[in-house]
Amino acid sequence: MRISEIIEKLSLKLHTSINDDMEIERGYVSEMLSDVMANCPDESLLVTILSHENVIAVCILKDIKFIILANSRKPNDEMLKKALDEDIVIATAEKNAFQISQSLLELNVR
Amino acid sequence: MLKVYHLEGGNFSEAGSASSDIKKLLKRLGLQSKIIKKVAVAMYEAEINVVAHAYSGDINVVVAKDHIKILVSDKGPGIPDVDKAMTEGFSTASEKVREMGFGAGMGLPNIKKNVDDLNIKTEVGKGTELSMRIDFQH
Repeated sequence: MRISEIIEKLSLKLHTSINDDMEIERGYVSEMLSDVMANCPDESLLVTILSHENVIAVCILKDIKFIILANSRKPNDEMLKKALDEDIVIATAEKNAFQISQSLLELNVR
Repeated sequence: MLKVYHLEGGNFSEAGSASSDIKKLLKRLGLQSKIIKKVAVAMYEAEINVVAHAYSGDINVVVAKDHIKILVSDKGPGIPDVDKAMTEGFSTASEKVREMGFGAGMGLPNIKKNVDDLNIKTEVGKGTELSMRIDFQH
């Protein structure tokens, strides 16, 4: 499913523009960046509450192009700036990570 | 090709710039993305180790025809028990570092998993030297 469709269906609040509206098939939930590096499938979307710039550093390494911040978290300024530089999409959900995952599964993002 | 980077302890914003620079370089050289990921992950974990634990550090990267060598040397507390530090789940990271999503005790094990050769020289009270090699052919 395309990033823009996921944003619409999950009623997410978008913080960046979407320059490359790519298809996303897989997702990963984690609050540990080492775990993301070790276990997250490439090109997944990432659901997390971590909202600082190191998340972007890890996303660059893992080719993650879409971050959903759970629990109404907002990116800090540096995270947002780096995401804009790297064309990584950040959107916020009011729901928690468990609920977001459930909605993503219904959209066939696994 | 030789690249040199410098790291300051505690500067988490800068961690990752060396590894993403090398990632771009290897991409330009046309290496397999599987190999590029290994290099990037190992190097980023090493960068995080330096900013989380040491006062300062230097990274030297040598890109050869069939492998890459990364030497990360820091001035810092050193590692009193390397075997323990290599154990998944063991961490001495501060609460602040853990809140940022690090310090799960996965750093060194993650590095080991991604490299073909890893050598750790460390002296308590002085610092640590991590040297790793990743081969391009598998």
